[in-house]
Amino acid sequence: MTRALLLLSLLVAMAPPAEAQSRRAPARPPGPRRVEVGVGGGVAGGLSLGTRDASLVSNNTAGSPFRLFATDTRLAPAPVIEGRVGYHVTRRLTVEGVMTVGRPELTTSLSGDAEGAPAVDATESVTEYVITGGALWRFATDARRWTPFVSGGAGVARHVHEDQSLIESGVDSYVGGGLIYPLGSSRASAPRSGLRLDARLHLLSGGIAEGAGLAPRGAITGSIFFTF
Amino acid sequence: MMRPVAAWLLALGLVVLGASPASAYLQLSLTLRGQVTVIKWNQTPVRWFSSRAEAPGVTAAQFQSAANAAFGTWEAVPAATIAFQYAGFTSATPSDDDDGLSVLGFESHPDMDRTLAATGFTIDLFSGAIVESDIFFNTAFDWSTSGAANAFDLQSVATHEIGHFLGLGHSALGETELQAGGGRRVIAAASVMFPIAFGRGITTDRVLQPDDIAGVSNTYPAGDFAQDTGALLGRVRLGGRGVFAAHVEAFNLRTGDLVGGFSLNQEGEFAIRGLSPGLYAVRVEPLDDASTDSFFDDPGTDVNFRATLSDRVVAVPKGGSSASIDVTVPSK
Repeated sequence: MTRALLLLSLLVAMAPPAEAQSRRAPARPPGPRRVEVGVGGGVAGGLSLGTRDASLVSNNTAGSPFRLFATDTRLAPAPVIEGRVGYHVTRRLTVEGVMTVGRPELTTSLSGDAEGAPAVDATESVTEYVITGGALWRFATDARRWTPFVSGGAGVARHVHEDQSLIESGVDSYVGGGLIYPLGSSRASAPRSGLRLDARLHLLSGGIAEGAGLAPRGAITGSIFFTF
Repeated sequence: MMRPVAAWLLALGLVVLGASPASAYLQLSLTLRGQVTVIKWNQTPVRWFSSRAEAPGVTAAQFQSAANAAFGTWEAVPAATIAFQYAGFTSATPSDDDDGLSVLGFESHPDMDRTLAATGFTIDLFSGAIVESDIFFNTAFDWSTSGAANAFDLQSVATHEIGHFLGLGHSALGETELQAGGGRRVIAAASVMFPIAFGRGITTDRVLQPDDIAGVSNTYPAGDFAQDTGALLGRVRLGGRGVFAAHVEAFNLRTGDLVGGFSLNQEGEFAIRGLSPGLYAVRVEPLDDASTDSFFDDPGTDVNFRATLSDRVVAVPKGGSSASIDVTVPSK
């Protein structure tokens, strides 16, 4: 996956500039750049997956729970890489698909054993793929300075466990915002390349978060993008 | 033509204040012609008879009704195919072994002052198939079908014994404490197949626990059970060697289901099958909540180690097995 994203970014970088093309064909002014491709990286925040007791049934008429041991499970913060493809519907509105890949550590703290077994943190690594579709709205159309935006969307989060024997899929939805900074610009169209900073709040339900309700987590990413 | 070789093989009892260890679900098995063979019914529905014997406070009709309800509890497990057919009252008794009739009923065994009930089998020693199973309920104790506070609940005890009737051994999913006068008192359990009964007036064992359901489903799997569930594999190690008969508990971090198993060879290897796919925490403990011989004939059961929580979270896949984990336990 990482290799595919790098290849895509190289292809975009090697494409001849649109300005040069227009010099070769002066009779045809360039159309608006509508397709945007971006790659970057960042950090996905931790995710609490809930607490649960391993319980027996007590020897009484109520059958009340007897705790054998307690568990507290969470997904640790982890670096992610991000790939993005967007389409500029208007100068302010972009629809886009985003894929992030990370490898967070899943940790379950085991404690409070009824027979005094020492508490431990049980761990495993999971590979996380989040694929979402969404929309982005720019608050300004001046392509020469930092431009704030808001975004939102939803998709699927897949978690592949350490030995690749178990794959869990849940629904990931997000809202966020950020800033876009042009590296090259034209008044007539979107910047031909630029930097983008994103801050998002993700809500995960189902999959690895099954039983934990709507599990929130933050994510911050930075990326470089190209339009053509 | 294969002639069943009858053997009065096993008698598994549910004890009160008795000495019996506990561990997660265990299928009864025999070594036949060098092969470990799980004993089970090969044909269903399994016909059973109710004896006409009565006990103080429990009529023959009430006994039959409670036993029928207990059979129904096992039959209702969706992932298991086992079915039963009530064949009527009989003058035969549970002690009439090898008569071709599977009989449940009261019997007086005042000498067995710690045994509430017991199940015996006749096994086809060629195939390992159960051909007859009988259960007696000891009238040395007080019984009730209504949950009366001063008597043992007949349906709860029948549910346990019918687990044996189906080929399940004892489960160790429970905690006990030593009694001042000897024997053990169960504090709590997570399996109907725990070998020590709850107290008088308690009816919670009328309901199967995940450990019981995994056991019967794995013994009599329905449809896609094997494809819909997975197995957790591993080894229990102590000082570089395997531990035999350690009790291994698998806890599903999402559902809260607790299912147990044992390390069943000298390498300390275990395989807990019939688990819902998902993430599991693993705990290992010695069989020290009852006498080890209620689980294994093998005298080599190792109980000289301490309870241990594994430092690995285990992913159990659908229709497959987890990667094998090693759990290293410290000696006592």
